Amino acid sequence: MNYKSIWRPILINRSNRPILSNGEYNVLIIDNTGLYQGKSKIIGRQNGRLYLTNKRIIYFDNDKIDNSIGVELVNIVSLELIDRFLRSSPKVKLFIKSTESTKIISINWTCKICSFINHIKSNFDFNEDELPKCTSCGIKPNKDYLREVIRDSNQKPTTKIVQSSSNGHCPRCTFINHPSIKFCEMCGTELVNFNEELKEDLLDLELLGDEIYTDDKPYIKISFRKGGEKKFYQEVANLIDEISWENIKNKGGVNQNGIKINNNETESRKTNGAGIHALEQIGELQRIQNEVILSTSLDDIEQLMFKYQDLLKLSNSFGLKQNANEFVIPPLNIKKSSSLYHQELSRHISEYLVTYKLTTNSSMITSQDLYAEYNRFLVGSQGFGCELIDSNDFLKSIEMFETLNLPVTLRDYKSGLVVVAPRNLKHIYGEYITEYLKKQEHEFKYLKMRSEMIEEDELNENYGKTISQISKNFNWSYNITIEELEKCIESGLIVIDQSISGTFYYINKFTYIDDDWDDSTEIEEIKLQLIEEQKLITQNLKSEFELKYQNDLIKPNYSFGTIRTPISHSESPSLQDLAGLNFNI
Amino acid sequence: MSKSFEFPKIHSFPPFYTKQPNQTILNQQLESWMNIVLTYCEFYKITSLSIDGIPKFKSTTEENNALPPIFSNDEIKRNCNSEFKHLILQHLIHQHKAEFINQKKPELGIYIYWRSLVGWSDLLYQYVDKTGQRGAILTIYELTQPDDSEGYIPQELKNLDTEFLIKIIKEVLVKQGKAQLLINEDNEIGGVKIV
Repeated sequence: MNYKSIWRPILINRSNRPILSNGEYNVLIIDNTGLYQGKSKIIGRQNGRLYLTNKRIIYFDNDKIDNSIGVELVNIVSLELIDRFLRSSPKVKLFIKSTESTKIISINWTCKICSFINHIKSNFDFNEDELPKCTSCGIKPNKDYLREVIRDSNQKPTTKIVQSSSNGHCPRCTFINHPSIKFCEMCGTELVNFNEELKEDLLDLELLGDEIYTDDKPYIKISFRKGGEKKFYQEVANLIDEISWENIKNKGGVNQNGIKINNNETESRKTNGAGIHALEQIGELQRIQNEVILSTSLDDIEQLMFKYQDLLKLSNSFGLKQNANEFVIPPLNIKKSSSLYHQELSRHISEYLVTYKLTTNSSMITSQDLYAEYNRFLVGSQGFGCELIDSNDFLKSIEMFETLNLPVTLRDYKSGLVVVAPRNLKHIYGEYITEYLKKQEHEFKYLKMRSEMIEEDELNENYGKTISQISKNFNWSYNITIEELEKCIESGLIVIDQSISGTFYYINKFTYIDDDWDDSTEIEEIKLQLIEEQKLITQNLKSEFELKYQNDLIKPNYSFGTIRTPISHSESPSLQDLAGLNFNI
Repeated sequence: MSKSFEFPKIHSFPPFYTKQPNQTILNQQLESWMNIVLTYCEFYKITSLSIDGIPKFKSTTEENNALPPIFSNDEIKRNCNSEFKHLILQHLIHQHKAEFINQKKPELGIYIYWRSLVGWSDLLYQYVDKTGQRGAILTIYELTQPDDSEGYIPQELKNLDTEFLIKIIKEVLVKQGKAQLLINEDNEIGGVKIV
């Protein structure tokens, strides 16, 4: 029998962590593990991290990411701990559900009354389950008849598969269905879908030996080369219990919201009499009273704890609502003491950065800002109960960006400033700045030209940009901008202009020769653009004027001059357009 | 001289007036400044500048304040601070395009050599040679005579700073053995004999 098909491929994100499905969370992460199928090793899956989530066991290969595979916890029935023996590492044996129960074929039976074709599961238990009714007429079939049908179908399952063809050809009525349809559109017969079966066998796992199981019970083994097996065993056992409990609950087998009723009637006893007996009684009474006080006060603390948990739940639910529409990064779930903690934290931070912070090519964030914002993000997404990252752990994990081959990287500046930036573009920030400055210069020329043409107030500024303007444009912090500008100055891309009004930054033009200074074509273009703009304004003014006075029939003695075409050598040709209008009302 | 000097475009580039921290750029900047100073001085025939960049002596008659200032640009409201001005002048001196009038008293200003001393002396020698005055004793005044009606004196030599002229004669012609300076009883230079 082949049980290798229980392994499934997994999805991996850019920060080299598995993508979890909805409602799934990490329980445990253990490094240095290897996989066995039965008695033999699975080739290429001998050095990896093990992520235990509440739904799956995910093996994440350290050498080749594509080798990562996972197995659903639902498929695990029970487990066994194998202790270290001589040179063999401790292992956990996970028993798989045997195929009898996993491969349930649905069998057709025809209603004797209305001849409608119904389905029944092959594992139908005649002693316990109620007999099914015909979905069409609601009459129960004969028990013996059903038994016969199931027996028949179990005897010849192979012939059935041969009959059906892959392209949705119905084996019963020969109707050709769409390949993705599971039941024949005409007669309702189940179509055997080859595509799906193929997909299941996609994972090509090679074993070091044959697939042999002791006692013929299928199992997989996980070898823990560096320990952690006991914890794993405990957690998996808990999860399996939880899952089976969940199953029972879903079937309605649990009495939910049951409350144990207990009568707390305190009897007050009064002392009467005298002597040693009475004294003893008083002492006894005192003790009981103390006990009551202690227990009630503890009750209060307990109440407080319950309230606290409620509050946490409440804040979590707000967090969920907030992020409902966005892509949510699953929270990190790993113990601080684990050796993998910093690696995982590093991956998580990188994930956070890629999704929220470093979205554009030029974005950067200082390590201080990142530290603060990441912790804020943790609070925001997980509620107030979450554990914040301390600075030592943070530092260790951001230093791991490089070794873990993550999409973000650290940049150090001379002043000791550390910045996190996307990996792909390491040294071209200067280009962004120069590009920005060039654009600003053009803008400035445009504005200046306009102010000259329209005779507005003269612009007093120059086209240089200050640090704050540059930081604002790139959404960088001041420190980053200063450092980047310094780099640009060093490489000669940018020059500075210090005056009483402040320090401005310009593109380096000292290397310009005469032709480079010539911006007459640029100016011409700007002029044309401005003329167009002014023309439009004039046109609008004119039409507005017409609209306003078109009903004014009493004094219609105003006239418009013809719109002259603007003369290009004139300084403000558009104003001459206006001069053509005679507003003599 | 109605036309005023036209500065190159870099003169209206604001960072031009700030000392650049990058050494390579600074060198380029100083080079540009040197060119501007030299062309400016040549245009207005300025032979010496004060250390603040104000023309000290020029052979034209225009008023100083009629000239556009070198080290500032009102249009963009920028000017060099004195430290940077000195740096520029230092650069000129370093490149042998200028010299202090008096080494010991730098505050007196500097000579600007938009034409080298040798060039000047050649000019002078040619003039003397052409006009057949070799061997004759000439006064300094005669050499730079402003109201020279015959028009023999080349335009460049007219109104030349006498101290500058003496410097030319002393440092080039005398050294070459082509001239002799005659000193009168008041210990002043009375005349010059060019042979």
